[in-house]
Amino acid sequence: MAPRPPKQKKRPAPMRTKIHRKILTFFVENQGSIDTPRGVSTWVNEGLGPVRAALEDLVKDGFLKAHRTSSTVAYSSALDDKGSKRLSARLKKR
Amino acid sequence: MASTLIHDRELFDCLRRHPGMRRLRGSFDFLLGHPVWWLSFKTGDGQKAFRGFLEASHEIWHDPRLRGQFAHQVFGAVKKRSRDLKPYVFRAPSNVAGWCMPLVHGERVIGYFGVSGIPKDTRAEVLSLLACHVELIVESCSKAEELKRLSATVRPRAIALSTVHTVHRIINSTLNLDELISRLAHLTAQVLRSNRCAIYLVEKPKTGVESLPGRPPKRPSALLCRAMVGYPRNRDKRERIAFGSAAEGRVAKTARTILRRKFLCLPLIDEDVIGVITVSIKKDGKEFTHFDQEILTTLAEEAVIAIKNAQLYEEQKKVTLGTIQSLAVILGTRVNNVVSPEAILRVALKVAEELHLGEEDTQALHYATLLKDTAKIGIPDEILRKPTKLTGEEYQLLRDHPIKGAKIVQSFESLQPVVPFILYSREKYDGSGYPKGLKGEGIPIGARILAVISAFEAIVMGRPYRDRASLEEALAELLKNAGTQFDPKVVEVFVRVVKREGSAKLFKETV
Repeated sequence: MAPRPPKQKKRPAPMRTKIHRKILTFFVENQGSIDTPRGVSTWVNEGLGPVRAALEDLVKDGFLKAHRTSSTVAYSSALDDKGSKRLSARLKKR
Repeated sequence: MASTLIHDRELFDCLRRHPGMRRLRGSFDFLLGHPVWWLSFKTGDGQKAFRGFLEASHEIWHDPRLRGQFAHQVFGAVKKRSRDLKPYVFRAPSNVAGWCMPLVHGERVIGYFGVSGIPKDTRAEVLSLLACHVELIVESCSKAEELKRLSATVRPRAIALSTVHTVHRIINSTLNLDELISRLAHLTAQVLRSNRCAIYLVEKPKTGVESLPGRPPKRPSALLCRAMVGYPRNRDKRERIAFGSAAEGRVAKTARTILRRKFLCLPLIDEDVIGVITVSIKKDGKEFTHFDQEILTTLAEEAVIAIKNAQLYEEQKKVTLGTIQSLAVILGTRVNNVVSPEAILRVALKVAEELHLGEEDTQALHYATLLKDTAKIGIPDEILRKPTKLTGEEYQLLRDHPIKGAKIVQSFESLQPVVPFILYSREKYDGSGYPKGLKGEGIPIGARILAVISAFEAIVMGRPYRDRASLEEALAELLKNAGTQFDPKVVEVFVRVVKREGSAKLFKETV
């Protein structure tokens, strides 16, 4: 039997751009918030297009939850309390 | 008082960091003969604190002379004229003077700004100009601080409002009650950061003899769980709670909110209590507060409207379906049907499911299957039951019945999606059908299914002038015409569904 390849460590959470970090900071500070891309773009003071793309990235990475309906999509934090605290510490470090 | 002090301190810190202060020194230092520049918070804390503040001025001016050299002299002057709100010149040792400007915000002194060691003959206009500059900087800092405080107060509320608005949009985007309540439970748990959320609706009393005239209507007496989020898996998801028992039952009975440290339960009130919503155990382990109660009340108010809308929509759907079923029964009595409409309906819905039709198309097909023969109401019995072949005129009358049927159905607003299904149910896949000669995918999917169902029904039922075919013969006939008369995909699924169900199960009522 061929030896199993070593398990690759998952890449650390992508805080790729300033927009990603701003969105994460917003949801860490307002954990109960649920908002549309337009709403989030207002709160983080960034353009709608890049915010929309960043929100989808963060959903894929498991940081946010998407609530999709036929007319809109809303996003909220997908992290529990511990996860939020850890993320908050990482964001502050950066 | 404390908050004012904090505000003064914030304002002073803003002033100390303001780049205009350094620029000020750059502009006036030469004019004032290179004095010692200093800035201090208010003197209320005594000389020691004042000295500390003065020494901290070094951070702005980088002047080594600040370290203790003028502290005693400046403190004495400021203390003596602590009530003055206007700039003043004070005496200093040797041949120089000092100038102090109380930093006034509103009517309060938040600190002092000054220069020590200016020539005694310094012109008043220069000092006045300096005071104007400082005043402008204080004003700018005051505005910035005010804006910061306003944002800190308004922003969280605006975010909460936006959240409530988004929840409103999400829950109102569906009229399916189960989906709506499930969404609502998830969103409520998310907004309140609670581990658990459950929604119970009042169980409607079964109508029976009590609802007869003269007797009082039966009152609801229990709650039925409609959604649970975050509860253990073994918990009964269709839990029933009697009015008055358990916290949820008490809330439903009294219509009063229960707020406990780890539990918050609110009634959903329209005209009467229609249900309750509960959240328990916050994710951060903190207690539920009155602010949480306020948020949940707002969400509950939104929820009630959405739930009532969905309930009304469901009731309207039931009424429509009931009317259609009655019409189908009336139509059924006119033709000697061999296959029961229920069996045909079951097959139609299974085909729709296997072809992954959307909710709207499936519902339209449901209605269309029941209403496909509506226009037969206008065809005389002699033609419908004629034992011999039809004449050209009679055939034309039968041929037109999908068009007439569509016209009848068209008059019902809620049945608009059904119209194309009935209208084009006589179209053929190769384009040789009627009324428009549509071809292939151009024919609506519901009409393509309906065409197969109608043909199957006709073959199995037989006609007064044609013998009934067996199930196998009927399916073989459909397969023979797949690709020409019928959509081959639909035929394939239809045959599969019929075979899987088996003739005994599908047609036992009649065949």
